[in-house]
Amino acid sequence: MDIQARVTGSLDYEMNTPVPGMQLENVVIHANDRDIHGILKPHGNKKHIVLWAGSVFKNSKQQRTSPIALAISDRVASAGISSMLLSYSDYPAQGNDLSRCVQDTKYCLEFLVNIGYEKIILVGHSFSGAVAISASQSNENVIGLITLASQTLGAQTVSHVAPRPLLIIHGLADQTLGPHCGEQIYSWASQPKELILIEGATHRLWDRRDILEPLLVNWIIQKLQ
Amino acid sequence: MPTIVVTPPAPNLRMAFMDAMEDNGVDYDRQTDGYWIYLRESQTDLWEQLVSKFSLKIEDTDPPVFF
Repeated sequence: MDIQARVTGSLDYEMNTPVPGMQLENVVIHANDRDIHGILKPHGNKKHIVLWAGSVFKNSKQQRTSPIALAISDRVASAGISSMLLSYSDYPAQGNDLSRCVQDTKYCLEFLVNIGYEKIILVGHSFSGAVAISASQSNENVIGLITLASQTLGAQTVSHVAPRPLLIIHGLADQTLGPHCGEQIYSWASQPKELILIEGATHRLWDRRDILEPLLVNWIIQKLQ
Repeated sequence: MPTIVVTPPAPNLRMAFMDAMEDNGVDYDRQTDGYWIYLRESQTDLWEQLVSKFSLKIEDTDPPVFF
């Protein structure tokens, strides 16, 4: 996908030149009061993308990336689906400022629409589950939402995600945010919605990659077809 | 209008259980200790059917509420 940098209203951005053979692009979105970093993995000609909110933890000394986001990005790439891994602008204090992280995600959604993506699935894990729920509501290009082991704080407005499909995944062995959190979010949500409780999965969920990976890949590809 | 606390049904039944509650207009809330069911007088027969269908285990009826 050929992407040209441009300025759109209060939002401009820059992307490094892709390294041949590596389909990774570091993106910096310059918003009014903040810089938001992310990794864009464009694939194919489709205008479909998965946005992984808060999946990159970045500061001046280190960068860690969600293994779920990395693996699923590679898997859906074969179906021509792009991915964007978003780092919040206030790391490491991200857990303390829900509204700021929601705004970061909204800026990123605006950026993705500006560069031509039309259908977006938004994914958030743990704290970012609540971020994704809030951020999805104001953007009609978001056509589906996935929460992974989400917290309930900030998720109370989840009914507004409808009529777009919602997939709620939680581990039954989650001792950080118990599976009742996923069930509670399901109870607040409106149809279409789906709740998957994974036996033996902790808060990381990746310990049941055997179940999680095909589940996410199939859901994403099906919704973006 | 009794309040009933039930143990969550088997994990693979919980989505269907919540859908059944929603479809039948039964108010409920998922708490850490189970599902709190807020039953109307007219829903007694319906509730008996749901208890049977989902093999629900009733933990408490009209539990004390703490604020």
